[in-house]
Amino acid sequence: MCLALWLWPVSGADAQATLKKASLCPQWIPQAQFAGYMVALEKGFYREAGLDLNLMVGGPEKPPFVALETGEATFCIDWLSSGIEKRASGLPIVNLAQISQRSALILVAKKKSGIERSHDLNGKSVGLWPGQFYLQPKVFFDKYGLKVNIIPNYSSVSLFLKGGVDAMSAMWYNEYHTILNSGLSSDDLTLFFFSRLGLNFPEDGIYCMEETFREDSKLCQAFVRASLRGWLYAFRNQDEAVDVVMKHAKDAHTGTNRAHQRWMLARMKDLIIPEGDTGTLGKLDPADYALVGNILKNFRLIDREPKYVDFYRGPK
Amino acid sequence: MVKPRSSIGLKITVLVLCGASIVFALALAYSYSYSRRIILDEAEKSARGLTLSVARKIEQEFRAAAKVPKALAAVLETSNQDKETLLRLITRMIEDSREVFGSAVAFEPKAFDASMRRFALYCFKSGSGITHKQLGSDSYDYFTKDWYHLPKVLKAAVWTDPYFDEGGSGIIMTTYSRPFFQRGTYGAEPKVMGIVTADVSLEWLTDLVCSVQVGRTGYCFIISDTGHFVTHPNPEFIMSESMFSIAEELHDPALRTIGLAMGKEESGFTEIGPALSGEEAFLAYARIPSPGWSLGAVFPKNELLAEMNSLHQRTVLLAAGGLSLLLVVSGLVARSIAQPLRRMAAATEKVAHGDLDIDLSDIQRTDEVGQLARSFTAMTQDLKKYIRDLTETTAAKQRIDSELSIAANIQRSMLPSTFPAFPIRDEFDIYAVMHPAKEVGGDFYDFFFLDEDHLCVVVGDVSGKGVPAALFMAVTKYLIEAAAGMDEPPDRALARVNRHLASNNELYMFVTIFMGILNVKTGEFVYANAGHNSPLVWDQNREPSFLGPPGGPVVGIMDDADFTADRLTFTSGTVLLAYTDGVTESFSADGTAFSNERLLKAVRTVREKSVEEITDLVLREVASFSEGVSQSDDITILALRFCPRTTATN
Repeated sequence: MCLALWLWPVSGADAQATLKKASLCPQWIPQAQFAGYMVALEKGFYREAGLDLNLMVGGPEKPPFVALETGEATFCIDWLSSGIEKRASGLPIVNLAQISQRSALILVAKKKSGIERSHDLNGKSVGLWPGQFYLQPKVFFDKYGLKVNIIPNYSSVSLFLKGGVDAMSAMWYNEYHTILNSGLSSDDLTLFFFSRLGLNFPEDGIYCMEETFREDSKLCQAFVRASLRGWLYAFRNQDEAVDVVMKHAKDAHTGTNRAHQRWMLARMKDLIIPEGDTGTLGKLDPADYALVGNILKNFRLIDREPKYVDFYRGPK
Repeated sequence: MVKPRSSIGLKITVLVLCGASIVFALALAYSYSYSRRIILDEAEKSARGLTLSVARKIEQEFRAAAKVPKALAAVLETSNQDKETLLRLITRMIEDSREVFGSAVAFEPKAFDASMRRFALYCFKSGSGITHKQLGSDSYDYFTKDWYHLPKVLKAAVWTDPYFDEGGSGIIMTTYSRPFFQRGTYGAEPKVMGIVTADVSLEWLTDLVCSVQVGRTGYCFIISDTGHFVTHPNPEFIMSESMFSIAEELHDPALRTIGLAMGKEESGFTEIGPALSGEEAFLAYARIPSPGWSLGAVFPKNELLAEMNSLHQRTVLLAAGGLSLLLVVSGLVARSIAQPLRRMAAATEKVAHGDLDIDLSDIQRTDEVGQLARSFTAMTQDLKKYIRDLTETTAAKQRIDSELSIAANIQRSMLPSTFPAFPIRDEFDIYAVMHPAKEVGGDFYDFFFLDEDHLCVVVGDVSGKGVPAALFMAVTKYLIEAAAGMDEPPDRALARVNRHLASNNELYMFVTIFMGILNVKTGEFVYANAGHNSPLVWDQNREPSFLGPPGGPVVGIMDDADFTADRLTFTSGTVLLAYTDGVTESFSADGTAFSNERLLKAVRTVREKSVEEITDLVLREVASFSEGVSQSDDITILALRFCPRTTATN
């Protein structure tokens, strides 16, 4: 009830009069990973919140924090680990909301390669994405003392499908389903969820420059509220939400299909409103924050964790 | 009166129609399924042939394209080339190849030139001729691209997933890339030096696949090794949907299975449902081995079966027409049978009500129905005759019956039937009954005074029954009366009667007679028995017993038969009960005779009663014994009690 009230636009009439321009840079190409924002835009939730939002087309060529830094984007979506790293490296960004509560990063392994349990990975070749995707697998391998042959993997699942690697890192909501819909069955695969291996790195969060927040915190809060409202609407009306996503995907020629986006949206729900969690919507758990910061420090990717209160300006 | 619902005509029509319909339906179903199988077999053969031949053609193009990187790799593995030579080499190779759109030689870091991290030459066909460019740059890190990364990791040639040309022309491309290895590393693990590629535009592939005619509305498509559509009439499918995504969206696990089969099997033919083309269809497929893709051809079921269905429809129409005709014909036949039958049924009803004037002469037919009508007419005529005869017979019988009843009256009047018979004589009581089995009978009794003191008592039974017996009895009765009147003892009297009857007895009838003469003063009783049942005798001191000796010869057969007389003296209260065999030979329902024993037993209970009561009781016992059985013989009982005046006075 409190949440619902909080999500509702504060001063509709006032906002209608003067819409403030803002732009959002998602971390990746248009897909259901960003359904909440697309739906909020489509259903006019941002307008109701007083925002004239420009939803940018993300992708590998558009790193979100660069877009923030250059001022091209008012808000961006990126991973918590990236956010902490950026803040620690001196870019004054703040987290306005932690949307995804669970890590969707997984290792997908072929049972045919004899991988059924963690220690089966020993001596196997594993395709890993570079950058922040590398962290959790590395910690996991170290923790279990696994000697794996790490092979860099890039944008496609072809290397895995063609037998170049025995396992690969994948997003549960994306590549895993791509693999399923390339002819492998879930029975052929073993999944390792980092979120269940003590490595739950919350992923997508909403960020803006600290300056933006200082100057117009109401705008920031209105944006977050409208976005969360978009997510809730999308989860309640999944068919409609998938329609909206497909429209954005088609405009960007991403070459996807409804089945895939439907799966992704359903998984996003599992990540944003995990079963059993209540009252965590949009919030950054200090424990999660500490875990991620700690590991970043151990890997010497940061010297010192930013203070939680400096970093997080979202709903309490 | 005949309900049309259960009429024989309707039944015949319905049965004939049902039978014919079943036969038609079976024949049609068989012909349908048989011709369907033939058509589908043929379709499968031609579909497999079509997909195999198209797939083979495509495979040849891919193999031809793969020759360029193979040749380039061979050169690169055998000699070092400077940039210019390499450029000329690649250009030359593309010029010579119809299939290859562009080709790249990309080196591992520092493999071409120790000072260069990236070196990749790309030559491609453009409007005027062949142009080239360096591929490696900060914004295009070719090491991360599938066309480079995959063959490098796999150390083998790879056909990449199809992709849209980055130039944005909307052309689908695929790249064949193969690694080339460091020279002179025989025996050791070969070290990848770089990758050679050939870009193949799939425009020709799309054109080729679109140009393949699959019936009127069928089409061909190609899926990649991950099941994604490379070509399809629906442009939205291309590079977006896969067999598996459609299967998931439509919840059609069979389609997923088909997608898997297409990736694994060389060729196949299967039903695919409406998933791909919106209507039920068949799918034939054949693999294109080089890239591991599969060519599919969709044959809409309706189209394949259209001609057969229309033929089938016409056949069904013909069958329906035939059935209607059959309906009319069988209706007429049934009518021709049912109508005369209905008339005969009505006629029967008339006959049942007694009206025999039936005219069925207009049913002029030679078949069973006509025969029935003729028999029916004959029957009514026979009936008429029979009824006429019956009427006459009945009249005659009625006449005889009335004569018989007159005869019965006469016979009854011949026997003394007024009791007390001698109101002024109190020395004895007498009572007798005769119940003939028919109107008239052969039994008789009689009693009369011969003089003041002598009472003659007779009970007789003529052989046979009815009128002859009655006549014979009448004669016998008067002969006995006449003989007794001559003041002779019973034996002599019977002998006289016997002589009379036997002398003229052509029918060999006979009569049994018990005859006794009682002196009502002294109680002396003289009797003779001519083959008759022994009478019972009892008094106060003597139990009822049969009066011996048993009877002698019957009367009427042998004219010289001898009869004997016996004597017995009646004391006061002595009772004589004479009867005919109608009493002791009365039969019960279960076939047992009344018998002497039952007679004795019955008599014991009433020995002291009056003669009338004794007689009645015996009659009642006999009647209840043979309850439900028609009386088979005449029954006669005569009871006599001696009660002399002296005793009465004393």
